[in-house]
Amino acid sequence: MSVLGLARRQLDHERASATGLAIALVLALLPAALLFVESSGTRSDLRTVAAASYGVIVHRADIRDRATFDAFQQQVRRQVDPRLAPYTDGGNESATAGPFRIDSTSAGPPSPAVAAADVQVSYAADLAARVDALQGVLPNRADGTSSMAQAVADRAGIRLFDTVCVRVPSAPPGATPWCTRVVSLWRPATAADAGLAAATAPLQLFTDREAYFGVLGAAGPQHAEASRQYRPHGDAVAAVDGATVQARVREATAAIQAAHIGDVRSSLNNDLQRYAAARDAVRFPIRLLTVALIPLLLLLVGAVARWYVDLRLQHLALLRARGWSRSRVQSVVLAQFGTLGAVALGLALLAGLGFALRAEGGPAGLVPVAPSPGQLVAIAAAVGVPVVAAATFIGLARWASRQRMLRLEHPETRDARTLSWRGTELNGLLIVPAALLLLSARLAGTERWLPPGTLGDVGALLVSVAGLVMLVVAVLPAMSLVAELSGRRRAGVEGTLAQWQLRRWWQRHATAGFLLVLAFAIASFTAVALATQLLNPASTGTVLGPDVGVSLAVGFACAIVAALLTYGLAFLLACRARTDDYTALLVDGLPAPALRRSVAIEQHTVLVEGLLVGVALGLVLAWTDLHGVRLDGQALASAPTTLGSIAGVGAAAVTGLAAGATAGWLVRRASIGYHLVAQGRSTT
Amino acid sequence: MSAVASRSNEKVLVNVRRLTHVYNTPTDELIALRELNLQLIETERIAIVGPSGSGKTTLLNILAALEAPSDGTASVAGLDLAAMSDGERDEYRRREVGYALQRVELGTLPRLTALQNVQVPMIGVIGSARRRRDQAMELLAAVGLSQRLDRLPAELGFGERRRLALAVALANHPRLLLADEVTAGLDDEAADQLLADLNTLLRELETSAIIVAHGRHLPRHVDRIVPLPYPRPVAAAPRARRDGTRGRDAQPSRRTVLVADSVSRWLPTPEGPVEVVRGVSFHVREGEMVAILGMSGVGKSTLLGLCAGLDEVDAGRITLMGQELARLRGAAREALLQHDLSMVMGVRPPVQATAEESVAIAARIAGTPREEANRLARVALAATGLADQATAPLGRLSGGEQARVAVARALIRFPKLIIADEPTAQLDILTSTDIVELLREAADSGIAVLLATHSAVLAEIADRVLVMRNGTLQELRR
Repeated sequence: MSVLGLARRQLDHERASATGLAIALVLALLPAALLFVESSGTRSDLRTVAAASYGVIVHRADIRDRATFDAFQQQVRRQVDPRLAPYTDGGNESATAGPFRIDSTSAGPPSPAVAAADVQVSYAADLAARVDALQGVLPNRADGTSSMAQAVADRAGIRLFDTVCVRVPSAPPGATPWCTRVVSLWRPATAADAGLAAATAPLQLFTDREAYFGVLGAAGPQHAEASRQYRPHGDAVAAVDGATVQARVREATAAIQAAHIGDVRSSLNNDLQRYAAARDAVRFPIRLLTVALIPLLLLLVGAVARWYVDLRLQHLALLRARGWSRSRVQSVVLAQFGTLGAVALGLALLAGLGFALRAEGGPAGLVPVAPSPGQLVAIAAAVGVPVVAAATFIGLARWASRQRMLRLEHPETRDARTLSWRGTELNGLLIVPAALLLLSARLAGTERWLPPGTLGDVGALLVSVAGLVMLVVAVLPAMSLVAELSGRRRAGVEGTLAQWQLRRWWQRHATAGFLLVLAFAIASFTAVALATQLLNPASTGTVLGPDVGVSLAVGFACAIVAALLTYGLAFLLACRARTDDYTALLVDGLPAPALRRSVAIEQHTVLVEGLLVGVALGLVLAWTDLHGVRLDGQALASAPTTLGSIAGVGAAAVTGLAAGATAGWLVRRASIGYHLVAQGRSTT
Repeated sequence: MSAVASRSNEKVLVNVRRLTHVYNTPTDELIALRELNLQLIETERIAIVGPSGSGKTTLLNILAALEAPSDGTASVAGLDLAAMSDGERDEYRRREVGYALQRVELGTLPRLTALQNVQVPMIGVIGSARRRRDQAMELLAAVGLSQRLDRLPAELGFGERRRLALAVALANHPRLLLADEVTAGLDDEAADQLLADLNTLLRELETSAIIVAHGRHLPRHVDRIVPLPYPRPVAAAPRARRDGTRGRDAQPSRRTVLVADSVSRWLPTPEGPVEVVRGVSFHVREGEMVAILGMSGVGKSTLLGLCAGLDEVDAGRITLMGQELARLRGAAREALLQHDLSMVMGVRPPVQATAEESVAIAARIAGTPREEANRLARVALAATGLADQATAPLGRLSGGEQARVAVARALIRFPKLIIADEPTAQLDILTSTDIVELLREAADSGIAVLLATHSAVLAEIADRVLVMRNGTLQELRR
C-alpha cells in the first residue's frame, strides 16, 4: 500500500464520477483539436488555391534580340525573386513571336483555313515540365526542331515528324520560310495550365531558345513578347497566411512598374483574396465555437472535479484524522486527477496522431498557418483550458485537504441553507449589457452601422462569447420561476415532490444549470451554422474543404456531450444526496415507481426548459454572428436561412431530448429503488 | 467533576484540566463536557462509562485532536492539544494517538482490504513498504484477523470490523489508544474476548488506552473505570407519565396490533448466510410503547424492517392488525402499510420542502386529499411543538426539529402502529428524550409504538423493554 496505490483505489471507488471527469477532460482538449483541424483545412485550401493559379507573369513586348531578352529576364529576377522566392518557383523565361502563316508542310500544302490561321512560334524554358509527351520525344538540345500540342496538330493536320515551314504574312513571295521539324506531340500536364490548353491555345510551335531567336532575326515578325512566369509553390503558400503572399505580390508588382520593366499579370492575388474572404466568413463560426466552448469546458471540468472530490471527501478527511499531512492528502487527490488527466491526454494524443497522419503535409501540416489575432486568442484559450484545469485540480486538492472529518455536512442540506445568496434576481440586469454586446457584434458583422473592422476579429469573438455567457447568467433565476409554475399544474404526490425540487432548481444547481443552458446554446448555434452550410453548399464555393463541416459537427457533439454529462452527473449526485429524503418517502409507503415518476417529472422539466432556453440563446447568437458575405457578386457565405435555422434547431432539440431522456432514465434506474431503504437505515 | 486520578509520582501521559466543550446549534447551546478533569499515566488503561450524551465521544474527539475544546486544557505527552500547529497536530495524530471511531464504517476505507487499511496510517511514518506490510500483518494477527487479510471491511463480520478498527488505530504503535464503544453490538463473551485480546496487544506495545465500553467483564480488562455523568440533569417528567401508562398497560381489553411469532431472518455474508434475527416472538398492543434495546448490529433494524413490511421473514410470521404480512400482496399490503403503519427513522424528511409540506405529503401518500392533508399537517406540527416553524424549509431546521417533523409525519396518518428505528440517532440526550416523549404521548393516545434504541435512558420511557442480543429478545424485568 502506497500513496499511489491508495489513489488508484479511490479512483476506482466511484467509477461514474471518474469516467465523467475523464470525459470532461477529453472534451476540454477539443477546442485545441478544432484549431488544428481548422489549421489543417486552411493549409489544404491554400494549397488548392495555389495549384489552381497560374501565379505571376511579367511580360514585355517588342523584345527581338537575345541581349534585350536576357536583360529583361535579369531585371525581373532582380525585382521578383527576393520578394516571392519562398512562395513561387524560381521563375521560367518564355517568349512568343508572331503572327506567322504556314507556308507548307512535308505532308503537302495546308488547307485554306489552316493557311489563313495565325501561327506563333514560342519558346518556354519549362516546357518539358509542363507537358506529357504523347508521340515522339521532346527536343533536348538546340537542334531547331519543334513540338506542339497534339490537339493543335490535329486541328492543323500536322503529324509527327512533319516539317512545317512558316513565314510572316507580309513576307514577299519567294522569301525563304523558316522551317522546323515537329519531333514531339504532347498534351498539357495539367488542365489548369491555361497557356497550353488545347481549346483556347493558338496554333503554336514550341522550339528551343536558339531557334526562337533565329526565326526572330530571319523573319522579323510583327510581335515579339518576352515574359517570365512565376508559378506558386503550393506548400510554401500553404505554410503561411494568404495575406502574406498577397502583400509580396503587390510589392513585386509595384517595384516592376516603378522600374518600367514590364507589365504584371497575376491570378494569385485575386484567388487568395477570394479565398480569404470566404474563409473568414465560413470559418468564423468555428472560431466562435472554439472560444465559446472555453468557459463551458472550464466550468464543466471544475464542476465534475468538485463532484468527484465531494464523493471522496469523507475518506480524505479520515486520512487527515489519521495524521496524514495536508500535502500528502493533496498528493492522493492530485495523483487521481493526474491519472485521469493522463488518460484523457493519451486519448487525445492518439486521436491527434491519427488525425495528423491523415492530415495533408503530415504532423507539420497541423501547425497553425500564420495565425490571425482571433486565432491566437482561440489558441491561447484552448491551450489555457488544460492549464486552468490543472490549477483547478490543485485548488480542489488544497480545499479537500482542509476538510475536517467532523464538519462534513450533507450537501443538499447545505444547499437548502444557502438558498438566499443564489436567489438574487439582480442577474436579470445583465440582460441589458448582454444584449448590447450581441447587438454590437451583429452591427459590426453586417457593417451597416459601424465602420468595417471596428470590432476586429478578436473583439468579435470575445464580445459574442461574453454576451452569450452574460445572457445565460441573466436568465437562470427566471427559469426557476417557470419551472415552478409548470410544476404547479401537476396534481398528485409525484407532481408535488417534483415541484419541491423544481423550486429554485436553477439556483440550487446554479453551476449545473449554467452549464446545461450554455451547452445547449452552443450546440444550437453550431447546428444552425452547420445546417446553413449544408443547405447552401454553393455559398462556400469550392475553395473550402470538408473540414469546416467536420469541425462544426465535432463542436456540436462536444456541446451535446457536455450537456449530457452535466445533466446526468448533476441528477446522479442529487439523487445520491437525497438518499435520506427518498428513504423517508419509501417508508411512508410511496411506491418506488411513483418516486421514479416524480424524479422523471423533475428531470424532464429541467431538460425541456434548459433545451428551450439554450436553443433560443443559440438562435440569438446565430442571428448576431452568422453573416452572409458576397464578393464580386458571388455569395461566399450565407446568413442563416429560415430552413437552416429550423433544421439546426430541430437537430439540436431532437438530439438533446433523446440523449437527455436516455441519461435521465439511466440515472433513475441506478439511483432509485427499495435498496435505498436498507442504505438509508445503515447510515443511522 | 470528580473523575480525577492523582498520579503525581508517575509519568502523566494525558492531562485534562477543567475541560469544557459546547456545541452551538441553530437554536441552542449544548454543553457536552463541563469542567472535566482527568489524568492518565503511561501504560495505564482506563474505561470511560456514562449515559449517552455525557460527552464520552466528545472527549475522545478532543484527545484525538479532531476538535478543539471550548475551554480548559487537554495535553497528551506534554503537548497542549489546543496550542498545536497544523504540522504538530498531524505529527501527533500520526505517532502519538490512535483512534478507533464509534462508527466503524467511518474509520476504514471501504475499497481497501483489511491489510491495506492497516497500512494506510503507516505511510509517511514507516518508509519501507515491506516493513509496513509485516507490521500490519502482525497487528491483524494480534487482533485475530490473520485469516481475513484480503477481505474488504464490508466483507467482515461486525465483531471483526471492530477488531480491524483497533488494528488500524494501533498501526503506528501510538502511545495512546482511544477506542469509542469498542464492544458495541457484541455479546458479553465476544466483548470479553475482544477486550482480552486488546489488553494483550496494548501490554505488548506498552500503549495507554482510554476505552469507551460497556459490559460486565469490563473491569477485568482496565486499570480503572472513570464514570462520566451527564453534564446537565435529565428532565424527570417522563417517569411520572411512564408510571401512569403502566397501569393502563395492564388493561386486558386493549387490542394487539403487532405480533411477531418465532420470526427468523438470515442475511448473506461472505462466510455464508448468518441468522440475524433468531426465532423472535413479541407483541405490541394498542396504547403500548415497547422498546427494543440493543447495541448497533444486533439485529434491531432488521427486525423492525420485517415488522414494517420492508423485508420478508425466512421463518415465523408477523401479524399486523390481525393480517399476516407475508400473505398480503399488492394493493392490500400497500394499503395496510400506508394506513395502519407509520415509520420514524433517523433519516431526514425531504429537505427541499417546508415542514408543513413535508408532513402533508405523508398524509397524501396515504390517500388524504391535498387540502385536508395541509390542515392535518398544521395540527400535527402544533402537536409536536413546531407550529411556528410550519413554513420554514426543513433544511434550516435543527436536527431535533427535523426529528419532530419526522414524528409529525408519522402521527398525521393516524396509524395503529408507529415503528421508530433509532429516531434520535446523532441527537443529544436531552433532545432525544424530548423526541421519545412525543412517541410516548402518541402511545398514551392509543397508538401502539415499537421503538428501537441503543440508549437505556430512552428505553426506560417505554412501557416494556426488550433487550436484543445476537438476534434474540429477552424482556427486561423492571
